[in-house]
Amino acid sequence: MIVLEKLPAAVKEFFISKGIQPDEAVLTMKTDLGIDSVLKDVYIVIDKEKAAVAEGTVLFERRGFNQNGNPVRGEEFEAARFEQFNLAELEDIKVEQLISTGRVTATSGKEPVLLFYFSSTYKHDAGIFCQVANELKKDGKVDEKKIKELNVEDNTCPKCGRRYPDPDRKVCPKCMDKIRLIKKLAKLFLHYKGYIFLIFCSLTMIAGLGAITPYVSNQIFYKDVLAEGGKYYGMIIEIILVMIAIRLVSLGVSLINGVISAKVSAEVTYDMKKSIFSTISRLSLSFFTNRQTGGLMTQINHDSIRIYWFFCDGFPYFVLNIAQLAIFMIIMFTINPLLTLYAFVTVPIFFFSFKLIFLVFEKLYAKAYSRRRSFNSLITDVLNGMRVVKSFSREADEMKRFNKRSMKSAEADTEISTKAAKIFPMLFFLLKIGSYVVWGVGGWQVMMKTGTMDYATLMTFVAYFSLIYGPIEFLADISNWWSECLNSLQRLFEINDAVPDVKEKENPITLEHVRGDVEFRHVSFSYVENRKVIDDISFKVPAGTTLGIVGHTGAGKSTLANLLTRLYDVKEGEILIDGVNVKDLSFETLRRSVAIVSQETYLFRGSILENIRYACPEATNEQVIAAAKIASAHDFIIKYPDGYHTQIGFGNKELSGGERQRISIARAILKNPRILILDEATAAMDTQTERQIQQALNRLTKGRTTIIIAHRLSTLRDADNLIVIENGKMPESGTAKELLMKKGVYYKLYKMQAEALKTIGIEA
Amino acid sequence: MDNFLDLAEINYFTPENAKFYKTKNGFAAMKAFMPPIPKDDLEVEEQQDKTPVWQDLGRVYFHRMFPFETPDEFISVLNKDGKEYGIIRRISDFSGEDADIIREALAKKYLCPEITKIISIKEQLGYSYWEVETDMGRMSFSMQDTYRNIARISDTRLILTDVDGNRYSIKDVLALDRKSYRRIELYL
Repeated sequence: MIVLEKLPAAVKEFFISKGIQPDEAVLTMKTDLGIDSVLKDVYIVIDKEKAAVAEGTVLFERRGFNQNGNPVRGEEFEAARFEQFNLAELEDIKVEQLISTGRVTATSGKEPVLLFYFSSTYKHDAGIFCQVANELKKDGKVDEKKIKELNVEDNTCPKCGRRYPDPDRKVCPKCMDKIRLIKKLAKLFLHYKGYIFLIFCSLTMIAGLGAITPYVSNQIFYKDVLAEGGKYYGMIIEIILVMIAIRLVSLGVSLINGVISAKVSAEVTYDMKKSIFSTISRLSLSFFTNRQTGGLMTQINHDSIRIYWFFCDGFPYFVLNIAQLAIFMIIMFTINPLLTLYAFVTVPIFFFSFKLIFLVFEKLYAKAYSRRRSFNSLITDVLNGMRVVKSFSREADEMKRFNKRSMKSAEADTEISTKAAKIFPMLFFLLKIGSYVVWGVGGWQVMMKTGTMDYATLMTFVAYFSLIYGPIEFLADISNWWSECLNSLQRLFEINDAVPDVKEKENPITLEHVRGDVEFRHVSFSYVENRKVIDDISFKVPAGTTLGIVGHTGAGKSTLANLLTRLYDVKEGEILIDGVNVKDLSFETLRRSVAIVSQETYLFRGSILENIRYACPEATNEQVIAAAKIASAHDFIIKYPDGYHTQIGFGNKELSGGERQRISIARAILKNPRILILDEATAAMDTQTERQIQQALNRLTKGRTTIIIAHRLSTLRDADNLIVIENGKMPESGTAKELLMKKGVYYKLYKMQAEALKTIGIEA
Repeated sequence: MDNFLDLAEINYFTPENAKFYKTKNGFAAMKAFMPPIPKDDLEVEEQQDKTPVWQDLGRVYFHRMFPFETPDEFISVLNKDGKEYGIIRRISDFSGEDADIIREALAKKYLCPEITKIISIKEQLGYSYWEVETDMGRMSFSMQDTYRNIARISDTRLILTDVDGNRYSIKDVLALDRKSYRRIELYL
């Protein structure tokens, strides 16, 4: 039994009263939307023959009190709709995804039938419903294990039972294990314990010297140097020299501190970025399609710097500031306990107002940041599209758009400046009030000669008092920084801990020699929930033969190639190379034996030579030239002044679409794989060049398995076998001749393209 | 500008050439006076006869072409595979039952709670948790990457998308009460 949602007792009773036994059901689940577009509790039960839907509201009510006087709570299910469907009568049970909701429909006879509605929150569950119902219909049983493995992922936090906010990111923010996080971080930083210790030492010295300075320049200066009968009476030069010495030592220490910090900072951030980058490149392709890659990298940069900052700057300073605050307070207290109490009257006010102001400014900064971001994105956008802007002469409008965003960004900045100009003087005034109190009370004490108060002590006290605001300010800030840092940490470790969807099996099979037999067995796949891109496709490509895949744009042809190379893993069915499931093969075997030239060619910045040699860096120049010749790239390459050393890519020579494709073909040829996939690899070339490449490839592909994906039939003329893909299904397969005889989809495609030729006087 | 309009051969549905009805189970369906529908794309070329006839298209699907600007104009009428039969220029061209059927089907498809009040927004570890009052009742949801998932349709209109892909609309953000506005202002 698959339980996506446990039925409440009242709902269970309701189903039983309708003659359905939920305890013997195959599937129980829930959605949240009624057929009348009202939020409701919708419960669904599938048993062996029927699917039953009950819509209504679960009510909780107090039903009097028990003997102890505690309320007895009862629940009741108020049903608004109840319907049963005979699975045998339903055909084509499927999810119809709407804009923000969806519904499950079927057909009965010829008549469409509505089963239930759901909001996107339950789209996964709805998909499972269809899968279960369809499997039941097919053979009267459900492979529970398979469905559970595939679908019933644990989407709730084991601790608090709440659903994860994002099912792909299994983090419950409520119960996030902060201690575990810090432990992990501590491990990371143990690495740098030497440096951190050094930073600590130098900071302690700076702080210690900072604490001595006021004492020397006030207490000793006034009392022992200036006052008659003082210990060092008249030794002004000496005391000044001592002061200079202290200053020089602290300067030296902070210099050393600065150098160490700079070194650690560079090293730690470098290390972090390196480890993150290596983790990222290990992840599957789907990780990147789910996120904005550019944003990801900036985020990582940002995060690693922030974490570095917290631990190398923030944490030592935190300890230091606490120590400083404590020392200053103790000194002040020993000097004059009463005055200390007076002095600290305004400190809590300062502390809290600072925190408050920080909150306001944080919001303002966030606003300014987002506006600057949108302004910057506009600039990049327009600069990249300058050609289009100019060709439609839209410069003036772009200028207007630019001005509007620029203005908004400027407004936000002005707001920050004016707010700062208004608030900070007031804050400093508050700070001054504290010192006025100290001056007043202290001065009065000096006049009245109460206690031990004299002029020198007062000056010392004031000097210490002005020092405590630094640490207080810092401590008011640090809680905000701490939460930001935790967030960054979480994200970093999330990437670090992310498990690639496509994993190499433990003890994978490594094939020394790959023959090149490829087989797809009942393969199904979907990128997005409830939308199958590949639906039950099976075919065989014997080693050394060429298979052509034909179909409309968006039919799922390229997906087949992605699945074979394991950029994605199949959802159902299996793919075999030489009779071994690709999931069991080692990545090394797979990558060595399969090469793909896709329709999106990507060339790295660098020379043409480097690009061709990318898959096989040890190739000799002779091999590179041979590969380029086969790919018909040689001729255009030698036309460039720098030949194979021509720099290409961003900011350098821009190649045309056809040229790029030829270079990527050369790259794949150089790798010399057993299985070569050409995914619309020649689409951007003229037919003659395509023909040249094909003839060359034909010689090359002898004894090699080739899969050619194309919508131009002429591309496929040398294929031994063809399969036709339409809407993710495979309606036809066979040799070109067989397919023509069949007079199906291929025949029509062929006729259309042949007719196109006929109109210009060429018989196909 | 006009010269290419008739080249595109757009089939606009009007009360004269289209009649909507409901199937037994309440799905929108239609009959139309139009050239026979080819069985598949590939037949288009060979098809000779283009004289319109009345035909029962069965269940049809609606899709707004400009959902934010003119939700009641330019409605695409599609078959189950997403192939377009024709376009409804304005729903108001139709009256009575026809218009009701179109409106009802659209309302079902584009169902989206309208936020009337923001009770709280909490930000935690990269997610924001929203507690809102909508025309469908009180709802709470969570959003990831909040800035990017608030789409600004116009200066005042917003569409929020939560982690599950549910949408929430705010028709006029300036018309929200002061407190609600101040809660969301940060993200604008």
